[in-house]
Amino acid sequence: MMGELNKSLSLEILLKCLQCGSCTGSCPAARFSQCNPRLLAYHLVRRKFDDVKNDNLVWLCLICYSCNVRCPNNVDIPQLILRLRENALLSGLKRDVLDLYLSIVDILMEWGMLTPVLSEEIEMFKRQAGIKHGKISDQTRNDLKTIFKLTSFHEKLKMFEKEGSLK
Amino acid sequence: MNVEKLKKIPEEGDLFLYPGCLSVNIYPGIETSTIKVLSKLGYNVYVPEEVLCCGLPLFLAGILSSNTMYTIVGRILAETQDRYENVLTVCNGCYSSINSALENIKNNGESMKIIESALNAIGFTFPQNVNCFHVAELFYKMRQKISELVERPLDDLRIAVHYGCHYLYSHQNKVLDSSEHPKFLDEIVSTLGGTSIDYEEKDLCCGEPALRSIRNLSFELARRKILSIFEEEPDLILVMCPSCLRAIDKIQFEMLSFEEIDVQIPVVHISQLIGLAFGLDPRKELGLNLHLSSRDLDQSPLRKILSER
Repeated sequence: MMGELNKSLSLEILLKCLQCGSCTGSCPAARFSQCNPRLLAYHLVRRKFDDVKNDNLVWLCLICYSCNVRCPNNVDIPQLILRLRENALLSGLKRDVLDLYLSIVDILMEWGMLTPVLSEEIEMFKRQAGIKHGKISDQTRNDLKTIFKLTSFHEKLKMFEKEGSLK
Repeated sequence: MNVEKLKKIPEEGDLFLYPGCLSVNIYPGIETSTIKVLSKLGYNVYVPEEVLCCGLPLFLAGILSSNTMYTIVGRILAETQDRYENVLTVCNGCYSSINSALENIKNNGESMKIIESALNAIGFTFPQNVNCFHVAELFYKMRQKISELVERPLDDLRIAVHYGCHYLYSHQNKVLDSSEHPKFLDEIVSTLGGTSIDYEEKDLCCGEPALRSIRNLSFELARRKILSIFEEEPDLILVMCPSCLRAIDKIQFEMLSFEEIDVQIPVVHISQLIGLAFGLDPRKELGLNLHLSSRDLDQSPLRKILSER
């Protein structure tokens, strides 16, 4: 896993990042937290993957794409962050994030949406306005399960579980 | 101005409206107002009976891969069944994920094989000739017709506009005018008779895309945004995304409980704002009372235009 991450991340950064700091300068999260995309790129250049995966930088990012738009060399930092997040979760790090989002997957499987109806007032408004979308049908739920299986999300879920129990 | 894109936005005919999660179960007034406004503009609007989430929040957390998300998007778009070529979203997030999935058709052979075979297994194919627009882009194109339909002008309303990162930055080359200096929402405000006011943190992210486990970061961003907006004392805050709406709506409720502010400024979606100007019922048709920031409409700055009826 680590070798793969090494391969997919470092070359791109090594070739393109100038360490100019435009990303951090335009990062809204950097104004209010330790988030620092330039520093993240710096760690990656020096192949300090363990620093990076545990680092808050990866988790504080809003993936708002501001850095991507301002980078003079088009370094795709949001995509790097997403790969690092995925990799960290598969390695059993950030169990709190994983548990929270897996509970959201459960809501998705029940409703098809990520949010259930939260109040009687909203329920009533939907009824009066004739909005019919409720929980998804079993057919659609099965479609989702098949999609998960055929796009490797099932395997990933199993890995999440396994890594989690190793914690 | 992105003339090519503007040209492609349909001025009449059939539309496939994909409402997304939040505008169904949290702010359902966004869905109802969008349907009503589009119908008044003369479109035939089709809304799928079931709503599946596009998967973006799970993708951004590192849980779903892009292939899984794009396949879900393909399943959603397959409902267009070759009858609808124009898909509209009311959410910057859905706009971003659907456009990414459509771009992926052109770019990535290996990935498309996986997506297509997953879709085929459940009896669908990825529609090839679909355009996805944000409803705000369509409203901009239709602003002349919109101005003719105004029954309740927003005269004297001072409005703070927020665009949202996932519209402006996730597909920079698809932004209707300019990702650094967007103006089209401000222009729609003028069309309706309102005044768009400038504020220092107009470009600042609403904070909502922060991971759910880092609420204090979302809080700090949204709080800074609100403090900047409050300096200009507007009557209304306008957004084009239900997710931004939730951030800017909720933060005011929290700041009120900390006694950091003593009034709330209603936050509305662009479809609801146009619905207001078209004279629709603010509660039954626009669902504005379901927003924390405008639960009591008679006490809100909106009473200026509502009482004149």
